[in-house]
Amino acid sequence: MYKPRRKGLDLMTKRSLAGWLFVLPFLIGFLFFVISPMYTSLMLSIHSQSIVYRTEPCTQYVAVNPTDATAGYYVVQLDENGERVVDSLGEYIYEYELDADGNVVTEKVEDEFGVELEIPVKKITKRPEYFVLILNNEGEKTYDKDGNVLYEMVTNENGETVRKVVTATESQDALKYVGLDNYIKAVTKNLNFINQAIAAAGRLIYIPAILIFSFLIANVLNSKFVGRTAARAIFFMPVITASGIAARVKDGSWEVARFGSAVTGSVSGTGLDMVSTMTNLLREIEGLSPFVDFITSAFGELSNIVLYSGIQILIFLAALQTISPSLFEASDVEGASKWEAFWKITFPMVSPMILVALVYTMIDVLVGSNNPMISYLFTTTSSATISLSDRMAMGWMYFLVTAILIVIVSVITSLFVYNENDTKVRKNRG
Amino acid sequence: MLFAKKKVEKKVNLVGADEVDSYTIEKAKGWKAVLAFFKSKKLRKFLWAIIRGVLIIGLCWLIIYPIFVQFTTSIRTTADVYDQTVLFIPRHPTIENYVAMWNYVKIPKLFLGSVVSSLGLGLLQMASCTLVAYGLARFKFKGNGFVFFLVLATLVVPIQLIADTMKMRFSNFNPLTMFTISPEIFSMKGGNGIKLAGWPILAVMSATCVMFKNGLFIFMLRQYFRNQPKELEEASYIDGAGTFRTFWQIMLPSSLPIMVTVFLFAFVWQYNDTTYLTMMYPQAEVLSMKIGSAASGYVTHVLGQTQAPAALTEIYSGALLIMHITPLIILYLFCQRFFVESIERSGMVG
Repeated sequence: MYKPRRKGLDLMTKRSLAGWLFVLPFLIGFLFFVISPMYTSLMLSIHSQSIVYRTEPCTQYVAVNPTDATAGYYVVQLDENGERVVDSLGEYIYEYELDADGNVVTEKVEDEFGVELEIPVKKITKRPEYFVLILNNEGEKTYDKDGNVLYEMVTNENGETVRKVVTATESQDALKYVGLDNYIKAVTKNLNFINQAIAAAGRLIYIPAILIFSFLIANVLNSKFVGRTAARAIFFMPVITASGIAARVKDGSWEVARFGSAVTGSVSGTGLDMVSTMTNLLREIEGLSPFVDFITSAFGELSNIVLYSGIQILIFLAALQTISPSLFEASDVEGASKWEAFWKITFPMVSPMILVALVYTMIDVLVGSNNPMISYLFTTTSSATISLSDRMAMGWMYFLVTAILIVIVSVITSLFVYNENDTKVRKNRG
Repeated sequence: MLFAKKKVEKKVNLVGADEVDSYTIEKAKGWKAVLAFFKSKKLRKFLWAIIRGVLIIGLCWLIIYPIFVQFTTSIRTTADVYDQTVLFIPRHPTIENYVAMWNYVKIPKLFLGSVVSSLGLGLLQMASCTLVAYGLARFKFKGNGFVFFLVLATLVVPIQLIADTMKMRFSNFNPLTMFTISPEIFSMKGGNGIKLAGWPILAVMSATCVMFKNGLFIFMLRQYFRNQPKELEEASYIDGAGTFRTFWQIMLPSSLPIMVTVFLFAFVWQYNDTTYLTMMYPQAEVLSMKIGSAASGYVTHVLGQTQAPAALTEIYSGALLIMHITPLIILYLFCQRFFVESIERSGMVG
């Protein structure tokens, strides 16, 4: 009778266990850093977040009166429902504090690079009806319109500074289930959201533009000419130099081109830069201005497209280089024109990579940090003015729409992809 | 005809269209020669070379232009800033802006912080992505395809959507309440959980493949491992090596180039990163986090201007940005092959 030599698991189970072990880091990361925050944000989006009453330890106890807010205190105004609003200036009127001799009182502080500064102590004299004082991002004190403290920070029996509700005029529970209200509110009432959605939809045109552009450039770079390596290196450079903080290089430069006129306060567009003078001159000609506008905007977009298409060019170049030259020779002998060879050989052979490049481009354009919607929802300015629940609702709406779009487009495209290796792959990799 | 034939052999041109062209042009006389020239492929090739040259040079300029402008801005003096006739090259070029920023921001310390942290996190990302990609490429287990789908899905989720809630969860970390919701999660300080922030949590994120574009790294590495011959693995198993020894001694050494590529990407993106650092460690002493506030800080605090004028901050932030990207450009010059051949190397194309 057959007797297994070793005890324990059979080979297949062992192999699949090893497989799970290898992918374990990703699964842990996915659970804790993707699923959990996504679940939380989804839940927040269907709850309303009013003034948050809570007790919690606070590292710093600062006793203030409503009129004592000094520089470094961030004041946010609340409306009657406890939603955050900002006044037209975004700040409040203050006075300098004076000592007995009538001199401005100053205090010494260090900035984040260790330079010592003397700044005058400011005093807020005009107070909005409802507001929160956020003290150096460490804690806050909320007042109602009569100037009564709704809650404040006190030291508890453990010596920790905690927030204590003084007069609870609203529910203790900060989270109130509101269903899809936040979503409906965003679509029906938030004009900024609609505008950004339109702007984000406008970005869709980038996707075919980037694909076509990078495909053309890949074809050009695939032919032999002097300086090809240098050209390739430069086309890929934005992937290195235009990511993260380095992307500011671009933002700055466009400002610079204009700021000659902006600085001196002269009428805009009268800068001495040759291009703007030329375009302004051409705009004066009747009937020509739409064309001029189109061309200038097209060139503006072109620079964006060039900056986005580094990886796509590489993908297409790699694909073009795998096509065997004998295919072209054969078609040439058979009498096919270059145009026919392009459509019947190059295009189908490259088509699987078009799918890869398409998906990459869609992700880059739709969920990258350059997208107008992403930058609208998730910058510091909007996080101070729009409540978290509202931002999460809008973010989820945008995320669902883009995810569905990406899936649909890639499924449809994959139907048209020509896969020469289809049968071969199955035979080899079994 | 003899003349034509020789050239055909030299150029390895199958049809020899050029030579036929030049032959017909030579043979034709008078205006017919001119007509033949205009019809010839030689002219078309020449024109194409010119168009191609203009196109390539123009587009390359478009890419380099912002860096060029930033550089010329950063060497201006205050007088040049307010001089309308200065467009690119300043009248009084100076490196004082660089010196000022170097001293104010303490560049060497921040740069060291940037490099060390990016090296560490980049290596961790490379290691974890390699493990996961190997698992996905080389083992058949139930759910393999689904895990790969999840990897791709991480690319579609905008990090900004989950950044706020991730910060909440980890500033008050409690594994038991990760999937419950209560007002407590709003409390950013203290609470029942542990406060996790700073480099440790970023290291954990790097080790679990959830940093910037790690899904793309896994995709590239998986593609590479899939293309490795099965026989290599089988031979090693027959010789008695276990799963992990095969991975460590057989598969890893041959995949070093693609791993270097992934590491370089991870390093560069980490060096430039602000999103993840803002989320988990806003006080980080690295270059990328300080660029935003340094220029206006210098103008208001050291130069004593009450409101930092945009034009004046521009020259200092320009100097900072140039100092920030110069190491990157040098790195790119040396490791250009690893970046440019990344897709080819991964064997994504088959």
